[in-house]
Amino acid sequence: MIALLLGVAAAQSAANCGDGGFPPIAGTSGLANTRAALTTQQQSYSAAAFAERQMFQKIAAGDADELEDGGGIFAWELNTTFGAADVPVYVDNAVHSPQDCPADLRVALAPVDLQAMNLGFGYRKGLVGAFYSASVTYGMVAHPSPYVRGMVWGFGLPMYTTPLLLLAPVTGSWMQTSGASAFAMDYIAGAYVTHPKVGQLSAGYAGSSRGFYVHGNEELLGLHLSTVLKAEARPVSVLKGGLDRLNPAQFAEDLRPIGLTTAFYRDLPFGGGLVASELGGGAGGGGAAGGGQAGGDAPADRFRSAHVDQENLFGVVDLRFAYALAPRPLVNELAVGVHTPAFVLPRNAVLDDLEGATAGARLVGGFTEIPADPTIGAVPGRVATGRIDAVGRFEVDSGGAVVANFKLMLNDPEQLVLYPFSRNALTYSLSIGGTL
Amino acid sequence: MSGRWVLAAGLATLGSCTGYRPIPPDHPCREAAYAIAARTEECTGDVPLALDRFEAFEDTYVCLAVEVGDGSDLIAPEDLYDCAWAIRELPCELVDTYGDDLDRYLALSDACTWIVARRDGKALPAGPSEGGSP
Repeated sequence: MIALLLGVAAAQSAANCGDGGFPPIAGTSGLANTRAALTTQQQSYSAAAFAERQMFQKIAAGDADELEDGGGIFAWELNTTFGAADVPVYVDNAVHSPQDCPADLRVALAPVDLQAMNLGFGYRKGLVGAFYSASVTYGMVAHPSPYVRGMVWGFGLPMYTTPLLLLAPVTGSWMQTSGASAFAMDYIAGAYVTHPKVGQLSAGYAGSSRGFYVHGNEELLGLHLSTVLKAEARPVSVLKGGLDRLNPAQFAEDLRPIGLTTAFYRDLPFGGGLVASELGGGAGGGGAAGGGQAGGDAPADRFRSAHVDQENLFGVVDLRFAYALAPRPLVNELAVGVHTPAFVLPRNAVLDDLEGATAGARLVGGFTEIPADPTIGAVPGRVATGRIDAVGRFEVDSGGAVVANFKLMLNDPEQLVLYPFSRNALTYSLSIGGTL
Repeated sequence: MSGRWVLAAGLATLGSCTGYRPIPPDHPCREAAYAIAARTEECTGDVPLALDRFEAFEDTYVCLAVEVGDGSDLIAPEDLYDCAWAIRELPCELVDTYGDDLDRYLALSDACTWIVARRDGKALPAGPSEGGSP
């Protein structure tokens, strides 16, 4: 409680330092990390990733008779991360208005906040259908006032960005980076063919990479593979594949206590999202700077990670593990959680068969050892991890169902694999989607 | 009223987890060491070599504490990062040339002499304004 009060007091001391938008200091690991976080977010919460995470399962979740009737699907998701990186900034009010802003904040470590919003919808008729998925991602140095900061990320920006998600095909996919902030839009649109017993094949146009997006999965084991193909020297720009909730109990009932196994590998562009003019030269050294980081000859890199989840062990226990392979290896220790019986659904659960309402929750906690990594300015240490997941499923009058999820994470492996330099970053996620 | 309290508690948690805070006195110096490690990794792809150079930096040099807002305006605190910036902007050809000679990295900017000193008491090589050059 004392730490909490001290923290609030420290945050309040910066509250009168201005309206934010403080320029980052060039040459620091904090600015390099911020650029990396902004790019990683664009890739991880892209339109394609969202479609796989929130939409395709809903497309497939119906038996043949129900699918024949036709119907719509929709999904919306908001992810906000507070403090994905810390960047040194120049606070001019500490010089010009020391009566309002403490002088020792002239150069301050400021948190960088990120937000990603996704929207998708589709229509299914029989074994075929069409889908649209869009993403808007952005991030910036946090406002110094905790109250304004919370309001901006909690209400202001989501209200303005939701309509943008419908305009992506008109405006096209694009991104803009400036200093320690970035904004990006992305969309995919396509068609699919599905069979409840066999699997699903989806294909579409990916606006961000101007490539051809392909996703396939089969229903027996849950194998899946997705990629974005381009007619360029490096034809495969995005690759993700693995196993989704393999259920050994479907082969032998005695194996039920093992639960459900999910494992996947992901290979995304990293650093290439920054426009060339942002990577080289830039503003002069020292002092406040808007651009210039990582040297003019820093290559576009790859972000590769592996993930293993063992859910529903003995019906209630979950193990989660994430390992970053590139650009630098990083082991994130296992996180252990428990959940209520209704929290985890098998992959082939038919959403439209839901009757009434169910709810579930999961609590995950532990400690993670952070290794020293001077290349990203990371000092070694042990941090507490925590995660709360809650889900509610509701039958709707049309015969479909709506699913709502809430997620709150602190130093969770899912965060650390994306932002290995973050300490005590807080992520909350809201999503709602279903079949109508 | 209860909604306000929930909101206030949420924002308080947020503010306490990640808020603005003053930089540690040795921060510009540590950034110079991080810059050497990062540039080594970027140019050579050799992570162990980057770690070795970082450790060599810690063994060879001592960071000079600089208090921000202590009333001294002789050196603007934001200018102290010019040392790290100059290292991060170093072309890979020169990273190869400098190799493990960390003194040469620290001669890239006058700011390095304001934040770093050798443990053995020897002076750092002159910066650009005193005739030193890459």
